[in-house]
Amino acid sequence: MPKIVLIGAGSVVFAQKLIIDLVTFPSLRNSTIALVDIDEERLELITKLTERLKEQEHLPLSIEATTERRKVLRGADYVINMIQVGGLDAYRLDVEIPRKYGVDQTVGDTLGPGGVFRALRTVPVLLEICRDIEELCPDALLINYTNPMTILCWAVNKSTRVRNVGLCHSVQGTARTLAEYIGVKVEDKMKYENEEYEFFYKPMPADIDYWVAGINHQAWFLEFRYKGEDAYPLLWRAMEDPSIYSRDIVRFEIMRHFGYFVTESSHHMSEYVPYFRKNPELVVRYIPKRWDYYEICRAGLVPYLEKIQRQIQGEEPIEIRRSLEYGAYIINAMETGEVTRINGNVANTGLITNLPYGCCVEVPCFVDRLGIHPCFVGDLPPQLAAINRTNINVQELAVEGILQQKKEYIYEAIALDPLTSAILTLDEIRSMVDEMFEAEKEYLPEDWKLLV
Amino acid sequence: MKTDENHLYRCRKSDFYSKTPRGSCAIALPREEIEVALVDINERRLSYITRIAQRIFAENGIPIERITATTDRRAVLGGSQYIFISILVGDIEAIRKDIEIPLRYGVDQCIGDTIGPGGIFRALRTAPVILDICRDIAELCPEAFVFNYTNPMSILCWVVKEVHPSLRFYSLCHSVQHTAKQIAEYMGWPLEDLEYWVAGINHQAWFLELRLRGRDVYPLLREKAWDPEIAEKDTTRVEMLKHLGYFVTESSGHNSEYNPWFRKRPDLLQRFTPGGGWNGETGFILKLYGKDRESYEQELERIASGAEPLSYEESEEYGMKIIYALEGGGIFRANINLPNRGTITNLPPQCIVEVPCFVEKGRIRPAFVGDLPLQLAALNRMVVQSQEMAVRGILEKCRDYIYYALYYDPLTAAVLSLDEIKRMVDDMFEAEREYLPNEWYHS
Repeated sequence: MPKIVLIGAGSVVFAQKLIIDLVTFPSLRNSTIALVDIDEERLELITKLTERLKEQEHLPLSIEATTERRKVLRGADYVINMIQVGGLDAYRLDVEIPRKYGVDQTVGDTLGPGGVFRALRTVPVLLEICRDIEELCPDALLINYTNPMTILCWAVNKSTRVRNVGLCHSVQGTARTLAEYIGVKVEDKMKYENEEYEFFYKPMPADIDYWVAGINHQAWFLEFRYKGEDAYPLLWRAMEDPSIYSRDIVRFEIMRHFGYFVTESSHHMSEYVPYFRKNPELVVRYIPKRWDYYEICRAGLVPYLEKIQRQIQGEEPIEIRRSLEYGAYIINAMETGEVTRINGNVANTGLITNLPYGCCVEVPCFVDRLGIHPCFVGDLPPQLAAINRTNINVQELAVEGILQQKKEYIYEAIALDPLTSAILTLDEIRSMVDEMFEAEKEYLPEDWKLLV
Repeated sequence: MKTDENHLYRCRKSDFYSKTPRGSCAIALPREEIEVALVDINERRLSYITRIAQRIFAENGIPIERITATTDRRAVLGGSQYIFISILVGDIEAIRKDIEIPLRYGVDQCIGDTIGPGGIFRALRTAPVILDICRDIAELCPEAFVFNYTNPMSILCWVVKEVHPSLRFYSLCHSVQHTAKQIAEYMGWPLEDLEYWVAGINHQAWFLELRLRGRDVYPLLREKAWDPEIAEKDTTRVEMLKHLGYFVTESSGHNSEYNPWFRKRPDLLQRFTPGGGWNGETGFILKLYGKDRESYEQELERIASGAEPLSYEESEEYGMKIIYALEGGGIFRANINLPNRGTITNLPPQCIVEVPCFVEKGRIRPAFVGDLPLQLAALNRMVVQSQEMAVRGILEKCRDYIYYALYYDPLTAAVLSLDEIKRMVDDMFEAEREYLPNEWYHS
């Protein structure tokens, strides 16, 4: 019976999803789940919800809850990180300050000014967590769900000895989306409350196979097959259908010009390349429907929290269903030996031969009782590696800037961001970064406050 | 050129399980639909295996019409999805020369089928036939998965990859699974609780990780190396465990041939091959292959006629489990021999490695291994460089590279001078003339 620590468990919606995933595996029903959050109110919410789940399903689960992670880390087998440092208030600054300068990010959690500043806030906290893991549970696997995934995992790999993997749902989510685009139906009688639930719970068709590699939020469908046959021709045909094309314009344009489909979403993808968001007309043309994630987060939490309250009160049952997140699959595979394949974010030790050694790549990994085994991928098609490298440039400077506390690298990271550099001059970029440093000062660690 | 045996099994359609009857080679049993084609140039042997296959099908309620047998592989290759190759080119007399000529020079081999004079001459005999088969596959069923069980499998796989880079050609052995079983026996561990991670080259792959229910148990195995009972049974592998820190695959006798340490002096041979047989007996291959043909065929006849019951115990061989996984039966991990590319980062990218692969629907996916411990990579590289020169020699039909390959063979080099090695190779070329293509004898 493994001990699983969730750090940042006050991210109640996400934490609830993972905990339900865990208990859908018989091998994990008697786990010890330790919930950690520095926000007492949120911690109480997820604790009550987990207790309600235990009661409802008659689970032999052990539940612990604390605001001090060191109290529960000893003996942990798995540590799942889902923290958000600075919350929505800091996130607002990541988005709104660059927008003033004309850099219009839709999510802003991966690369660019938003991603780099999110990393500045988050890396120091994650490294503190890693120090505690090294001391208290050095054999534990750290599963990181927090963004910016690549910069965080790179920093962890570079400066700690913690076994870790970064997880996202963009590979499996995109695979299912592509299956829909090529017209593969899957029997599904579920009713979904909203699009998000549909995304997380809709089943994957059985006859779809894929092989995806690259970097997080920008990984490539190197193989996409339906019933064993290459399904790319079907995808090219689907692109000709305006009702399909209009749902994913940016990613179809990337496929049209670079030959391969990319993970995440058109919104996300539009931020990582120079082509789609450099002026308002282009944004409207490629992303006709705005999807501004900060605003969505701000407005969208209330109904979820109300639902959770009803579930805690027993007015509404907690639905037991398994999401597409890899986390619980990984833990089950390591506990039982039921092999599973995931896409994980790991150090590039020679896995993708034409991306820099040491960067963080998202590659197929098999998981068994011995742990996570990344696959050898080899060279990416050169045009895809080239796009990835433009993003890796930013990530590398951000990682070095944060670890060495070298402010110049932060300016340079953002100056090399493909979107920012398509819009601003170097001195405009410097002013923007300065303004962000000033505004976000309170969310940065002490050393950085001095630098600012 | 004389070819003795040539088995090819062709399978079609899904749904097998991997029970293989004792005494037969790898035969898949279908639950629903399967076609098997058996190929051998030796008609009498072919008829035994055909009748045995028919018996297996009949005992499992499968129409025996789904079995075809032929001496002409081209007649059945078209439409094949899976092909197994386990051929022996040149009979026991050729192998006798592989063993006895080097022995006259002082190079004492036990099996001699992997590297060294025996392994390289076996490759010289076998590679042309394998390439002929592969040319037919490339023409008639280029998408088929080809699983080679024939030795020397690393050199053969390497030659095929050079000539037919797009073929799905893999080599399979049972030495990883078998060694895991032996380790479990030595230690008294239940095999099903033992997890292992093995990588290196065929017949010289390393147990890099050993876990029992999640716990690292390598320290226990290393301690066991000092137990005289185990050293008596598995002498050279235990000796290497003591000195290099890791357990190697195959058997003690095989292993003793692939390094300079155990067979170069009579006193060492005596010390490191106690008990003989698989533990390193001189020329053991000749006993193994030379057993009474008549009684062997009588045994085949008893199985074919139904006089002896068939055992349906699961074998150690990977072949059918791999097909099952390729057909969508779930992910299966196997150690498979294929081009390194970058899976083991401190072995040359072009060499053939035996690494953990995950087999899934329609694909074989090698896992990334990274650097081997330096002392292990070093021994692998000694073998790999000899293989590389043998491959070059075979491709260019250039005798110089065969000399070079044996100049650098760890055992041969420990025993002989350069001119002695050259004379030995020339003697072997002369003695094996009837088994080798004429191109070797120009100039």
